[in-house]
Amino acid sequence: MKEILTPFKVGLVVLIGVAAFIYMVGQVREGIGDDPSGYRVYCVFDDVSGLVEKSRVVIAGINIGQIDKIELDGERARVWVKVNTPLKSDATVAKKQASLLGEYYLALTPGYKGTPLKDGDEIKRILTDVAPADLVNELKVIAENVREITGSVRAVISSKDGEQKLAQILDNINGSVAEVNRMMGANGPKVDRIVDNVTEVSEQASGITSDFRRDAKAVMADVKAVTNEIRGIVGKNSGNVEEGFASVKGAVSRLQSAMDKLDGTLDRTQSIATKIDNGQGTIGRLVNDDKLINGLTDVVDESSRFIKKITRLQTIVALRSEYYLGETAVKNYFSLKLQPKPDKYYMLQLIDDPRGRSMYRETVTNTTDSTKNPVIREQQTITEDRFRFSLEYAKRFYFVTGRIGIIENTGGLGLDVHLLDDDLELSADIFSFDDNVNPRIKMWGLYTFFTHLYVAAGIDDVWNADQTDFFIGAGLSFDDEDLKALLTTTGAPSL
Amino acid sequence: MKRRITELGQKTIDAVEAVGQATMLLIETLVWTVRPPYRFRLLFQAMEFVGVGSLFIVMLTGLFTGAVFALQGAGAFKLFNAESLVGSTVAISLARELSPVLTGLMVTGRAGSGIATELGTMKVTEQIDALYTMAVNPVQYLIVPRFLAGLIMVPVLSALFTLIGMAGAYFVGVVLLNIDKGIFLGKTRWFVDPEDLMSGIIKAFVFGGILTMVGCYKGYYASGGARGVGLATTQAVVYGSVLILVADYFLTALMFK
Repeated sequence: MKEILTPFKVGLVVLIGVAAFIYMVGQVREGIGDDPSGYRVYCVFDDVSGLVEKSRVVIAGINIGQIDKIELDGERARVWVKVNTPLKSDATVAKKQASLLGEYYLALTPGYKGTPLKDGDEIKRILTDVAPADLVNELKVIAENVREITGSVRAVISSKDGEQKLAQILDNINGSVAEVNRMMGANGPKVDRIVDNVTEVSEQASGITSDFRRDAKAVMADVKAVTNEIRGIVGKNSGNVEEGFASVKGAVSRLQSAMDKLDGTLDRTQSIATKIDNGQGTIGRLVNDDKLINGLTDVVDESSRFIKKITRLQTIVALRSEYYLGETAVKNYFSLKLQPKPDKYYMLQLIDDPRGRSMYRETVTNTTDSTKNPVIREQQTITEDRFRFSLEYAKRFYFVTGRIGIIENTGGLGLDVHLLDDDLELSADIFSFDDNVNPRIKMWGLYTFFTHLYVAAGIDDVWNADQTDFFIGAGLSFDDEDLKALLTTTGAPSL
Repeated sequence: MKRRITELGQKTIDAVEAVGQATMLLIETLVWTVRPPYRFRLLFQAMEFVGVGSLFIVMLTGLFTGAVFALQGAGAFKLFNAESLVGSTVAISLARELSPVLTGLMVTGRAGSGIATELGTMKVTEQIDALYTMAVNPVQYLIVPRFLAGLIMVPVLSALFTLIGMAGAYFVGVVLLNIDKGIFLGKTRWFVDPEDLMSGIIKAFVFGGILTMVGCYKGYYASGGARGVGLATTQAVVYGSVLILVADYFLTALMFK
């Protein structure tokens, strides 16, 4: 028996122990650090004091990751963060203090536009928060200001001059109060009557105010005006109060009739409102018809979608000049891009081409006139249409944009390859399929080296060896925002 | 005076000799561990003695260690209004430090002493010599199973210690002191890593080896009758405990530098 029991007991304890260990590891593994969907991004801070590895990273107060690593990056600190929610390139990050004990965490906002961040990307927007230490400094400054103020007040009061002035002010106040007292005593009964009248008015008014506070406000303003008048009368000449009082009475009766009218109007309004509520009359039907409201909602939705579409539409205006080395001539482009979506645009381009479109014409004239040559052969190369236009539709797939449409007055195709964060663009156009022996192929590179400025270089008409030419160029490009800024600073041209 | 110097010299020599003897015994044990025949019955008996026998006392120690730590921690953290950190503090200290060390000390007191007594008695009653005469290697027959049992069972007990300790801390923190349950568990999960638990298990593994080896060594080289056995038992506990604490320092320094 014992021989069977011993291995069993031992096995039981070992199994329980191993199970306990596995359970505990399972419990504490829950950190984001081991989440397979997590990825690492970094942000560069001026100061990371208080942040440690494994500090929390939150969005809206919810843990979405933790600090993976903090390392020195020049004289700043690079903080690697492991997160498990998608972030966009305009995400922001802020260092926040969790408690006065100095526990810090990072608060993120995920961003709502831009490209999604991948493993190893940087969160570029760092928001600096006011740390309690800064707050204390701020308070110190404020406290100093307060001290200065109280100091100057003390200086005023404690000086002989200030004391005198204060005494004078108090005297004045005293005098005023005494004057008021005297007047009240002299005009006591009259004032009483005025008060009675006002009470009566206010009683009537209160009946209305209980129902219609808003209207009562206007009435109160009138009452205020009246009392102001009374005060004026009383103050100006106590002897004339009687006279003034009569006019007050008149004002009160006028007010009363106005209130009666108001009452009637409100009654009618109420009856109309009731009718509307019950669905009577045109407005009533309109208000109470669900179908109509639904239709209206649809219309509003639709128009908001349309407006969104319009507001999303980006307009890009670009100018470009190319200098053809062989021909020593300049070709100018003006293009207008309408971009309803980031990956799609329509482009209208106006081109001033020195080469124009060449046409070859031969005229043969036969004649029997012996005084002339029997055959006159005229050869003409006609160049026309120096001014051209392109109208293209473009669609972007990842880093390649395909274009199709009219290129320089003929049908054509184009292809752009975007590199280096879209700063470098390699393009090729093929068009003008029947002007020459071979279609015209133009290839060029375009490098944006400063916000709106770019340079270009390329080769034109590659396939027709005799026409092949190299060119260099430069240009400008503006989008909506730039145009808006330009127009508001320089003023829109008046039409 | 001369006698004193001689005595000192003799003691030094004895100490160095003891270290040498223990090291040689360890090497011999390691060698015999991998050499057949494997005596599973003896191994299970040793595991029962070391592990199952110590289970109750280890659990009891764990429960109260966790509970008292939570109580003390809550008192201290209350000063900063940070009672939420009690759970994680107790969990980390249990996983990294307290579980392996206290388990090691408890098992030393219970099993290490038992091993020393058993082997010491066998030694002074010449049973070990009898094994020799029967062509059974006493190291393989007596020490290897106990050594392996220590290596296996102490980590197991340590893991249980941590779990029970957390249960005690949870009881004190959440049930008695009304710390928010979610925060208590959440912070614990947040701050404790699998590495913390793993480091504790590694420590327990080393301590298991130390305490059984010390027990075996003291018993195996016991001499001088019943008194010698008593001395061997005491020394096994003292040396075992001290060695565990010293080894703990070096292991900590190695693992968390």
